[in-house]
Amino acid sequence: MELGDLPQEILIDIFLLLPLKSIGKCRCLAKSYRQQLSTPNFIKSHLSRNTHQENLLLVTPFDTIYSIIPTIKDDTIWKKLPGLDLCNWTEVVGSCDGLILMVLEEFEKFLVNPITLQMVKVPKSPLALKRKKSFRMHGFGYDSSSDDYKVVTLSYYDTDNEHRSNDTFVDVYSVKRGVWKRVERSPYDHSVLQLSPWDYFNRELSQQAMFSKTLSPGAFVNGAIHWLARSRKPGSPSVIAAFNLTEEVFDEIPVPGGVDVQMFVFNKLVVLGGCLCMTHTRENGSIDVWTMKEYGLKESWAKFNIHAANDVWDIFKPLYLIRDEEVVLVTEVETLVVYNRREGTLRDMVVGEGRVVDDGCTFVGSLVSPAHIAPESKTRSLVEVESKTPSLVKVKTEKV
Amino acid sequence: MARKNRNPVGKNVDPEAQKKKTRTLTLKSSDGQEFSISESAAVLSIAIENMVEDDCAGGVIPLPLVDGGTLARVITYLNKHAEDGASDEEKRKFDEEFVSGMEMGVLFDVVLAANYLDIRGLLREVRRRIADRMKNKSVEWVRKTFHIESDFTPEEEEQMKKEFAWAWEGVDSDVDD
Repeated sequence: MELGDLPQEILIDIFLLLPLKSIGKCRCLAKSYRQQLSTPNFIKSHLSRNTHQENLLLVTPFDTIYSIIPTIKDDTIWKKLPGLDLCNWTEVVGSCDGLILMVLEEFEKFLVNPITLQMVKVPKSPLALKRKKSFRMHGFGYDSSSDDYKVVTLSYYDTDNEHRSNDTFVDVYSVKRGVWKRVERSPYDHSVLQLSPWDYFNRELSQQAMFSKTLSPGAFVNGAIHWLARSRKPGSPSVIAAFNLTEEVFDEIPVPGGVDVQMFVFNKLVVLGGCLCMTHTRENGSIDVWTMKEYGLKESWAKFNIHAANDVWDIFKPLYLIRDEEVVLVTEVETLVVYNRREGTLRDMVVGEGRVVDDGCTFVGSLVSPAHIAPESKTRSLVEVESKTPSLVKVKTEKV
Repeated sequence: MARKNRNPVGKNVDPEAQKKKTRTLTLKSSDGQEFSISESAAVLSIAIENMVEDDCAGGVIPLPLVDGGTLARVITYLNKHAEDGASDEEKRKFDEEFVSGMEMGVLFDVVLAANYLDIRGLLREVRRRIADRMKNKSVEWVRKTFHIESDFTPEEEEQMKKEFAWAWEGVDSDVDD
């Protein structure tokens, strides 16, 4: 009796119950296994069956990436991710289904699966605005209607803040098709982000920081990537703008009751435990975290406060939720601390060899490959021209 | 509005259920062994239930794809799950013990029988047990246990080790616990 004699549906059901590494090893059993365990269908079924344990990925100044493992205790096991440690990552944009969008010092974007260590470069957009004259922010997510992962880049020209109504271009990259396209401009004013007093001050000090870190990455939840922006309506109220990856248009989602609509554009959006969260730093250094428990439902926003006031640092943003009980936070001085919600206590978190982290994000372990591009044509256009805005786009064709 | 209860005495005395409990069926294995089983236990297998409903049973139900040893195990499982008053917790515990002692070959036989007889709970349990045994084991262990021959050339094998290096680290000891 061989395992191969079991009916295929039983066999696949058994493999679906295996952890990621076991599946990786079973791919090495024989050719037929390699094929069966690598199909997109199998990978998708495994992703949907897997108990979605969130891991944490961090980039440290040693240019090494550490990943981790289920729950965070004091004896957390940090691991180097081989092959990714020589890169100067400057930004971890976000993750979806186990793929992480990361940006290098040289502005190159990569999709990384930290489990399978596959890494694929996102081709540079021929539509991108000149770097030194513009600002940009990225987002990454999944569109279930086209079964495609998408990178979204918002960019606008730096006009020295004279023109507050800067147009924001919206470029979308389809991972499956390997194509960038420019969709309709955002109806919102996204340029306000760099006008926060802190960022404006920073700008004089560090152009590098301005270009890479201070612009907020989009938060992907529920099929849409979210950014804080200003409406172009009278009074320029703050909004949570949601870029729907299926329709490729912006929409607004309800904001928590009682927030300052003039000011909340300076807050931060993050994803914690699968929910969209907005954080606001108070003058005393403590931060409020609103969590939208049920997506799109205004009444479902719930708030908790992290009282972390001290003389040394402020909190930059929350990163990771441990069993609803503890929150891992990045501080303004780039260290990690863990806040216990029940006890109201803070403790340091040591990361690998040092204490300093540049950026990080959570991800679920998966076998999803970042190399989805269909090899159907030998030559493909890197840009797809939208009929609405043909004059904006020059089409470049490149050999693959 | 209160729902009208057509059977105020409750389902405990449902005559059809009572009949099933007392009525016995005979299951015949591939090697000719015959087993008696109450109908209420037997119909936990969707395949047997269909045969009974279609009345193609004729007293003895032949199961040409299940040998006697395996059928005896399956019947033990069915009887437990048809037992009156067995709590869910009790059944869960039974399921765990039921598969924990089985050798791999037996697990294969039972998973095939559960698939053929369409006994979903048993199928789920055995699948999980097989997967648990496979977790974190080396490629060699899996090949040996499941009698799988590699059709990779030595060069391909080396290439695979490189490509799937992430999966090869941290392999458990191959002692099958």
